[in-house]
Amino acid sequence: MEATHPARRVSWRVAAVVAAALAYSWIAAGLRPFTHPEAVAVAIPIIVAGIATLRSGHRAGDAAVPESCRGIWVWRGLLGAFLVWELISYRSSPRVDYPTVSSITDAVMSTHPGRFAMFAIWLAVGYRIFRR
Amino acid sequence: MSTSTFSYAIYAVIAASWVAWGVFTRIERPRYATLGGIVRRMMRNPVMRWAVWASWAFVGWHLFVRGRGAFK
Repeated sequence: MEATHPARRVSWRVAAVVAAALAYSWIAAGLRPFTHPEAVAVAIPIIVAGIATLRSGHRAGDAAVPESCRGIWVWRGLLGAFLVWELISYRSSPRVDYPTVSSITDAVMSTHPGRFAMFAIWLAVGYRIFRR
Repeated sequence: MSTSTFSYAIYAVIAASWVAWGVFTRIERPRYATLGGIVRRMMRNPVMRWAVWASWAFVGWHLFVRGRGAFK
């Protein structure tokens, strides 16, 4: 019985953080691009991640767990293919025939729920990367 | 096939390959490098750590603050 209390407390904390992140994403997604409030809403997570990056530098040697290098060339190839095609599309016109990732996401982000989903994903990716 | 369909198809192939390889490496870990493992490795390097941060920050700023107009 006692052992369940810490787990419950952690799950409540996780639920609260997720709820706060979703609420923040919803509010930020409702702000208009090119405005100061939107710039502040995006700058806050960027600054927090920057502080986390700075702090992780002090304990860089801690988590020196060996990782496999096998198959890295496939990841490099996929990234390279994406970057080459993005560059070709970006340099070509008209945009309707040569869509870039930005123009594709513009269509998704033309609605508040779509913009909210993109912001939440961006925030979640950042959390996954910088919480280490 | 129209040019736009071809363009979207290329993106779809790259995205599908990305997901397929991601799933494969997750199943086959630790034999193959997962995306998470690569990011972890990058975060151990002082320069790459800031490169990752800058890339993530750029994506957020470009998508939500500047929009596509950032490059116009």
